[in-house]
Amino acid sequence: MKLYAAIAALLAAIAFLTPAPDRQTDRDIYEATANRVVIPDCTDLHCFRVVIAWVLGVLPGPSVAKWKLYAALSNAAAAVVLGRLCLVLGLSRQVAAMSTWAAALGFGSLYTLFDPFSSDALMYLMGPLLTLLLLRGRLAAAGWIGAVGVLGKEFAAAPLYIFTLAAAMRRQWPLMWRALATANAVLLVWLGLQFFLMLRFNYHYGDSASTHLLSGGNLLPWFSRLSPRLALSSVFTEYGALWLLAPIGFFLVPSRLRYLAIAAVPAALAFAYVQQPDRALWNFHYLMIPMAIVVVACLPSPWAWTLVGCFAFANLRLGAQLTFIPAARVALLASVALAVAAAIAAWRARRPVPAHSPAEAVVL
Amino acid sequence: MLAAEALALAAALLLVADFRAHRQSELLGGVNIWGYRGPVVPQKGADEIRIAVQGGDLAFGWGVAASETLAPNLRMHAAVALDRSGRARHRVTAVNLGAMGLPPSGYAAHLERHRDLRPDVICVYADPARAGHGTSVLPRGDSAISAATGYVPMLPLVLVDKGRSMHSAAVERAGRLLESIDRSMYGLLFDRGHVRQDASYTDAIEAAVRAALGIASGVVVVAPPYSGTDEDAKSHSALVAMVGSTFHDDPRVRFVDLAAIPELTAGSIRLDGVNFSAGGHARVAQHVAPAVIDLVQARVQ
Repeated sequence: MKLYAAIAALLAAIAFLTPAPDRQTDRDIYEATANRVVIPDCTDLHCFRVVIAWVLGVLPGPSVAKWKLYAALSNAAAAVVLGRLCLVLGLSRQVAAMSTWAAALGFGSLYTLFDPFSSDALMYLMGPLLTLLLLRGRLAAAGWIGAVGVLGKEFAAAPLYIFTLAAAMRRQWPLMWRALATANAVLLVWLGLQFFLMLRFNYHYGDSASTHLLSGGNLLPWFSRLSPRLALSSVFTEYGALWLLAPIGFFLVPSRLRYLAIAAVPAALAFAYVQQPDRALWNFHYLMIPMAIVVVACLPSPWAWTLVGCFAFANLRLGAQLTFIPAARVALLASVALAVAAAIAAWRARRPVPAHSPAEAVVL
Repeated sequence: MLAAEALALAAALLLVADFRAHRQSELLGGVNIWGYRGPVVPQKGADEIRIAVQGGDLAFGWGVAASETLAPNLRMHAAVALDRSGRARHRVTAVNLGAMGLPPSGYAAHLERHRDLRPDVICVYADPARAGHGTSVLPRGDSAISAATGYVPMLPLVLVDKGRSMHSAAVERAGRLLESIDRSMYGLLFDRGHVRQDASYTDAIEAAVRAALGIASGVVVVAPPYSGTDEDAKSHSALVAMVGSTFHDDPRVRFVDLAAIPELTAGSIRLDGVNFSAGGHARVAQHVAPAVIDLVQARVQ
């Protein structure tokens, strides 16, 4: 709880330091949903993402402050839950602690502090929270939380399907069927919301590229707007040095995390296709970060924490877009250099991470 | 539980496919999810004047796009007439409630069904008494889904049409299967077996006008041009007499007799001898628009 409070306070402070976005955001839609509950004849995809706006709409206070606070609290919860998930997956306390801070100060988290008018911060919590509950065998709780989550954004169903696929890969058929039933129930809640809003209030997706499934989704328009170099750099800055480490960590982590990572690939590809890829991929941070941090932990502790610090520092500029932070390039390069060193250290060790017993009994 | 979910997901998938079928066809020859032509209209705004056209084949505009029928043509005329400097600004919209194959006896119920569109002026644009209603009906009146929810399924019809154009018996059969399931459900749940006594032509139109007056502030009764047989002439005379005797003193009602306009009988503005071409609908609108504009102006003053 103390850790949560500390992270939440830090993120809230960062949130209130971030500049106002200098481009069109989805703020108008979310604020209209918060104020009016329903916007008849709405033709924006974000009109369907109602739950956060509805909750924040009934709370008192200025809109920007409420949304920034929501982003800070959600991301802090996501980071703390990810730390717990690491322990449940059988990773060390050091990996759990570093993963917590990497998640809290990662690109996705900090970007939602800069532009809090989205459901993303809640979704960043959904991944680790639902996976944690599923691993503990609390499928009903995961289902209920997922059902609320999909009222915020469709991604909340993804961790349930990822877990289902991982259970199938491990041939745990009874668990797989139960998880599938839970995931389907959550999907039906999402579909029900879409149909209800469309039929009752004439909501539409408008001309959202995300709905153009047979003509490139959001991916092709996104690529066409950016040069290949910029597109590549946008995707790279999402995880920075962690991109180099996660593939190595994949071979070192406990098998249940490996299965979850493999099972997440179809969902990651699908979301990268229908959403803006650089932001969509952060939804999978709860699998990427532990895999990468396992390799970071091969460095001596001070260096390992330095890497996490450089990663976080770069994101203060790239994600939170704090203008008073010096250019991110140096921190990014330093973190990449340390990542290379960590990769070499892991290669030299050439052995899986010391197997810790999971912090508690898990079903997968 | 998984079986129930699979059923629910299959139903959701069908609904998504049906949405898509509507989206592809509603601007062309089909209807939108609530059963009228063109896209679903937004909730009526405070500054909005809404015109509705109710009728059968002629109002529906078989063979032309939704944007080429009488309703959007009237909208354009009314919008131009209202766009005068110094006047309060009004947005004019129009909905085409015409239903293909709908006999005049169905107009009143059809109007009631779309009461929530809150039109200000309704044109009751009658088909000739002996029009070919019943050969092809859109939206179908025997749909259980439609009777229960108001939602008009389009997927069966689109599948049948696609199957025919693709020479795919399987696709066509799938469409017919969906249609027959929906129809059977209607027979089981909604069709009480009684045979409705069809009202006479003039009685049906009178009922439609009364229903329209219960919804809108003004009604234009449009008598159709006809082919010239004795029976058509008799029905037309009866209609003219009915409007004259029943609504003559009602300032909310206007009458436009298209049969009295020779140019509308020309074959060059017809697609198949009966239904108007896009140019034909535009020509009809020129004659109906003054009465509509008269009522619209009375409404905004």
